[in-house]
Amino acid sequence: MTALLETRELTRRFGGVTAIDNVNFAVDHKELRCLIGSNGAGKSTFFKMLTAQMPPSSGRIIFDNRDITDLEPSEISRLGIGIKNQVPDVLDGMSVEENIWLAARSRAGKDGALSVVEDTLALLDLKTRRKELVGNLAHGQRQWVEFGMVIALAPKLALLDEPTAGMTAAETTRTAELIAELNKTMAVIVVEHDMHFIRRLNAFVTVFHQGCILAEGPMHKIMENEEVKNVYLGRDAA
Amino acid sequence: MTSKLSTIEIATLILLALASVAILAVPQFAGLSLQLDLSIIFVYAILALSMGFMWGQVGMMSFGQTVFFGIGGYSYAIFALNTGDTTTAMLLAVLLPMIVAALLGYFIIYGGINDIYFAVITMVATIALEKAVRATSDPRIKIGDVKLQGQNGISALPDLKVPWNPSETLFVTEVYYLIFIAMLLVTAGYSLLLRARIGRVLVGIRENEQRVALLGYDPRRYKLLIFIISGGVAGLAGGLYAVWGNFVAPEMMNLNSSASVVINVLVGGKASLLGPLVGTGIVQSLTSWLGSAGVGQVNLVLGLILIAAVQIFPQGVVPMISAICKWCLGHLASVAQPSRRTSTSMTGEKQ
Repeated sequence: MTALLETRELTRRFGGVTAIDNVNFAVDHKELRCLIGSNGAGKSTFFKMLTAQMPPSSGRIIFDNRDITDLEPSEISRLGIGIKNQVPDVLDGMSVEENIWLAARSRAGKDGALSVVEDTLALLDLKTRRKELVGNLAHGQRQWVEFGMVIALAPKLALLDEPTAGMTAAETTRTAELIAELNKTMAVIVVEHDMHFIRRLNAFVTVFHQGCILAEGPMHKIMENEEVKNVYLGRDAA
Repeated sequence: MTSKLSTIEIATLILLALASVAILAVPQFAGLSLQLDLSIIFVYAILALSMGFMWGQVGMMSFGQTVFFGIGGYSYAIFALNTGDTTTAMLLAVLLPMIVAALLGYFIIYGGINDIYFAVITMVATIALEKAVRATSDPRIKIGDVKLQGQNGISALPDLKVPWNPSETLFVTEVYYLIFIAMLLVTAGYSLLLRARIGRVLVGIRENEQRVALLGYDPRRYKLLIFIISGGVAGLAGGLYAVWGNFVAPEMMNLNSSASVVINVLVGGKASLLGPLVGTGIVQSLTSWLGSAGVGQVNLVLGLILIAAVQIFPQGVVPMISAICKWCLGHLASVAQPSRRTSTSMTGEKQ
């Protein structure tokens, strides 16, 4: 079986700076993958290219045997990629249920969408807040709403950029459970720098450094990798 | 999404129904001149709604909605004078602006032009067409048998005929009813649109265009669609304007007209569909009252009043009134059930 998502010699330059340099990367169906790297390692740029929010300078992106390099964000979404950005990227002026309904209705028919909304609200414990404007919710709950949108889209691949940013310890625990839940039905790529969180996810890890992949492997192997320790984990791992 | 009507929505509907009854009764006790004055307000209200919907619900500010108003008016004038078929002329007054909106909108929206640039380009479009029509005073410039007559406009347009009985034409009172009903239907149409999936996507685009795209909706497609629909509505207003005055002129499309559409929407408030209607009513009545009250500088006084209005209620008149109503209702409710407020605030704290 071929990989679900693959990048071939993906490169992005900003003027004279090469933020992503010839990256070959692959994720399988239903895999859980973490991308880590220090600030400026290029993981955010890489994420933006995967999600059609930034065009690459060269190289190709293949998803589900299709070249998606030049597609629009809406087309990528229709092919089955769900995206959660780092800053809560929600529709603040609309209610919680409307946010999730818009995601559900993008795939499902009229009745199907309503039942997806009910299931998603139940999963996220947002039933009591369904009529509230998302803009009035606390930061953590707005993150849930965005999670809910990705869940309601039922994609083949969920791309999550720092899903625990700004969350409390309890919310972070719940997020780990949710990601495990999502991973039952779809592949998940998580960009993170919270090492405790990544350890809890127990995923296959790809380490970025200066625009290249420095190392790949299960978390415990990565922790022992001397090179990774030197450039990235050095201070944190001790 | 199916959702029940809220108390405020029901109250609004009741008020609208009462207002409609009053407006429909006007010809019973008022003369033709009031009917004519009200008719033109309704025409401008339809035009304001076509602009206000895009601005308030989708976040697209079309400063040149009058370009479609003008094309609608001229379509009616030219076709009706050439053929005498006023029904088809009215249909063309809606259709041709939609075609122009599709072409113009395609290049603007798929060209990635947004925000203030969108406003500027639509404004340039209306001014360009106005200048072009002004330049047609040469009597040799004709479409069919109709001379365009440049800045003099085209007058003596035929009255609207009853579609199923072309020997009968509509007079002032019937035109009054027709225009009012057209305004109601357009308002109802927009409010149904707003509740449908396309309406929710449009509001989503206003809130966060990128997110809506990431949910699998192509924002450009939806924006083009509403631009075409609103072009058709503005064209309808233009056709009704031509029927109302038996006259069209390039002034329909000049900067003054396009700015006054924006002002009407601004005064009423763009957040609701009622805003553009109420705003047009207020501004147009004020304009004609100032004119008849013998104030020399009508535009100057109007301008001062508008500046004051925008300072005092920046969201528009309608949101202010509804906020006052909500406050009164809430106050009454808490007086009636004093325990309710404390219990809700406690559950609020728990979560």
